Amino acid sequence: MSIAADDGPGMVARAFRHRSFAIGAVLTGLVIAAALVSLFWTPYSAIELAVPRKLRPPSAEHPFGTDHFGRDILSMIMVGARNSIVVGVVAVAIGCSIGTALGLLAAARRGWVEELVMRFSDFTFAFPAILSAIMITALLGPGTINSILAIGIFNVPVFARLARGAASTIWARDFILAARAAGKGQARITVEHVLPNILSIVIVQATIAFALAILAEAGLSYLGLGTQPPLPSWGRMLNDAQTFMYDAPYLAVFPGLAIAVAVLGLNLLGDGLRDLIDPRLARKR
Amino acid sequence: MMPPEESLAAPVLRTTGLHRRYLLPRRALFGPRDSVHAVNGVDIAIPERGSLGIVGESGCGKSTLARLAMGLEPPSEGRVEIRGQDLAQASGPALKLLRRAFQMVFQDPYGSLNPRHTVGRIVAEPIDALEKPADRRQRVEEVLRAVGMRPADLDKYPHEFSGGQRQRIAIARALVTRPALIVLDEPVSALDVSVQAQVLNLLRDLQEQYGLAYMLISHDLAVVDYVCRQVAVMYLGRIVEEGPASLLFERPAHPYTQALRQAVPSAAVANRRRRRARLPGGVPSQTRLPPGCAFADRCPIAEARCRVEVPRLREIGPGQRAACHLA
Amino acid sequence: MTLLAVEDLTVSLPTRRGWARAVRDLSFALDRGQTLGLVGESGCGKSMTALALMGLQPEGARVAGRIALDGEDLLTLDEADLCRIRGNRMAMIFQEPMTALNPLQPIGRQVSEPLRLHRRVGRAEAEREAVRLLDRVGLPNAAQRAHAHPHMLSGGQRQRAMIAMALACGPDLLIADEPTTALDVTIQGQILDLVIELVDERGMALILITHDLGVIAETVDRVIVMYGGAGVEEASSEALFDYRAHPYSQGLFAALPQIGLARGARLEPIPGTVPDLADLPDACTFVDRCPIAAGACRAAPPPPLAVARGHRARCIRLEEARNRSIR
Repeated sequence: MSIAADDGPGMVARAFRHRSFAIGAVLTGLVIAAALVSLFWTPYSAIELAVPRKLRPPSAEHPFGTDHFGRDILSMIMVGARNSIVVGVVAVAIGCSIGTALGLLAAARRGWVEELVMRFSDFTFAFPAILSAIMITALLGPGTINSILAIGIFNVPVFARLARGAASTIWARDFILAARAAGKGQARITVEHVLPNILSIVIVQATIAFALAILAEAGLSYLGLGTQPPLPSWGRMLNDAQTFMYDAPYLAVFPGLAIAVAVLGLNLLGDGLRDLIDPRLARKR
Repeated sequence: MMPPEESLAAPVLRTTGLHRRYLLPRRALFGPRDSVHAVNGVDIAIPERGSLGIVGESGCGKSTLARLAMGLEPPSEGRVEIRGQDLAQASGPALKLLRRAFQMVFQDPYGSLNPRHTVGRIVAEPIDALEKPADRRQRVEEVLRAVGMRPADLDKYPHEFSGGQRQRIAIARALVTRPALIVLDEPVSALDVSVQAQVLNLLRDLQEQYGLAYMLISHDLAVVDYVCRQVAVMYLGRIVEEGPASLLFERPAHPYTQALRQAVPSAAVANRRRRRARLPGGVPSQTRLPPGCAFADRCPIAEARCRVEVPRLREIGPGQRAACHLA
Repeated sequence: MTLLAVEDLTVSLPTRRGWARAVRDLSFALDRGQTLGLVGESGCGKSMTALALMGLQPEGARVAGRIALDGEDLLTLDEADLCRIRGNRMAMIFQEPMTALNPLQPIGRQVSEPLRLHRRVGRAEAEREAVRLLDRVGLPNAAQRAHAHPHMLSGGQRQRAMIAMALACGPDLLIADEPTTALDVTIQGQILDLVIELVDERGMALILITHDLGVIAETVDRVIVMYGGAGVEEASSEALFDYRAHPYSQGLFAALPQIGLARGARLEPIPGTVPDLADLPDACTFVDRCPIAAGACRAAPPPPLAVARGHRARCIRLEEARNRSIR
């Protein structure tokens, strides 16, 4: 019943006893750490070409090997992580803030406002997200910023639907009626009562959307529509690796692995958060 | 229904010709839209320091009436006046000023308190919304003490309290604006008997202490009898009988009130073999009201006239009024 | 031979703070044709007792003691044998028929289910019998209504369908857990009348679980008052409504508002709140709220002491309780 139960002490301890949350946190932490370290130090430059060292298999010198321009794969993956995180965070922030705001608005106003928001999100849902992203980047030109915009826009309806559904159930609760009887308006009720009570659900969705955004960015870069050279990106590394599939298969393995670790980590983290935040599940544990 | 000496001042709550209809979704694309008549022409008046209990079974419109009185829903027809001011006309600062005069307590002490807010914040909500007084904390502590809680409970969360204590918190929230009227919607029906008595006594004491007027909605006749001096019985959106509790419960005039009174099992003496006349059937649909008296189909004494002509509330004794052709 | 003999029934539930005893050393006996009421507030163990009798206690619960149905100890039976008995020789009616009935099946099918399961009756024959049962419990147009789904019926009609289902195999024991709590008072009367009629007509034994003392007074022959899992007082209804020996029973009655009785007087609430089972001492369960508790009350669980013939209470200060009730 009481959602506040998750605010109690022991939350952190309980979180790390939760297996998928713990594994998810470690994997996500690994990706974030790689990105942070790359800001100050990488084993080699991830951008400068060193053709003499090209296509070296993994060794002590180059743990993940080098690509066809002789760049160190490990360094590129570290810098690529930074790129993936930036794209993910900004795209999710756009989708989450606009979408949640629209969802809250729809739940508060009902009537034609709700109709409009929901039909808009139905409309957006009707196009496969990655196709639309391709369309947008093709239209506005390839590049990191445009791919962030494209991914962000297609997160808007996801969050709008989620927020509207969750907010509608909160609006039906008696404490909302009590707040109205106390004389509060819709805007204040939304900020003080509705948003805090749906925040946990939105956060869980955000971690999962983050994973999808990383995947989408890799996909766009793979198609040449995302991050542009010379900045390394996991998706483009995969693309480049295709040419050397038979000569240097490790070129595809490591960026692929990086994407898998990031996506898996964030998904597990999201699942774990969902369990931890749901008080009914929390009590059983 | 008002005592003569108070009839000059405007009642704290007055409703006139109050109707509330809800439109149902269309059954067919271009079919007609049916509507539910939840409240169907209700006139009540509660004087300052008065107490009116509204009883009736589910679907009689008593909770809708409470929401209309609180301005939580607009009436389809008719008006709600608080201290002589039309609620529908008031807006902005005037409405805020008026809002302080009437507050509400809800049935479910678990659902009516935001689980993420502290008790202090919950109780202060109406003054935060309406007044922003400088002595906010003192006012909150004062009402918490008035309902039998400690100021130390201010920083706790609702889940740390039992149902009865939560209902005290909800009452404190209603008291904090120093209202003239509190609308109580089934305030004790979620509570156990031993705790219910604590809250009922508290309600009585607070009325005395703060000079409150109550509008108490309940399905439990005994609860209404304990707290209220005046009672109105509702059936299918209409008041079928009203009067002082003592008269209405001792000498009910309307056949529905009589049946309701009869149906309440008494805990005074055990008598397993006592069999009573029971009302047949259940409450009919509110979508298509019958042309005459809404109770005619279940009424043991209904005549032909009852099925044609809607009975009006009329005086049948001192202060007692019933809507029945045969009362 | 006694139909049902319950001896020292104890049900323990696992909680984060260890085992909580939801039912403590409860003993009673019941014959065919007899009616027993279990009355108490939330968490007193009355519903858990019913579930344990049916072998439906929650997973992980420990049940100790003896539950003998015609001499056969149900606690020694395995699940398959219990399934033979459940719905066949013992049947149960729940509080909320909407959740206890399958929303996707016509009620006729659901009523015929126990017959097909326990009596191996063919489908057509079972459904004909279901219509007869639905007709017996007073469902209008039973033959047509048998094809209706639960949501198409009113609350009272659904409860009638639940009763028909419970009656299908002609059980020896009917357990009704708050069968009328979700219903309006006029419908409650109809349903209670029906249950009593059926019990008399078929010579079943009835265990009625309720929080409503009025329902107890008008429905059953014997009563057990429960508090904190313990049966604190047992007597015939006449005796109990005449004189309460246990301080909790006394408090429960003093806290109950009754029409006409309390208008001038004041209810006497029991101080404190209904406790958490895990917090109860291994002594008298009422000791923390009892107005006459003494040191000895905390030492050990009180044994059942005779108040009069057939009237027992688990209290070691019966004299003090008597003086208090006279004062």
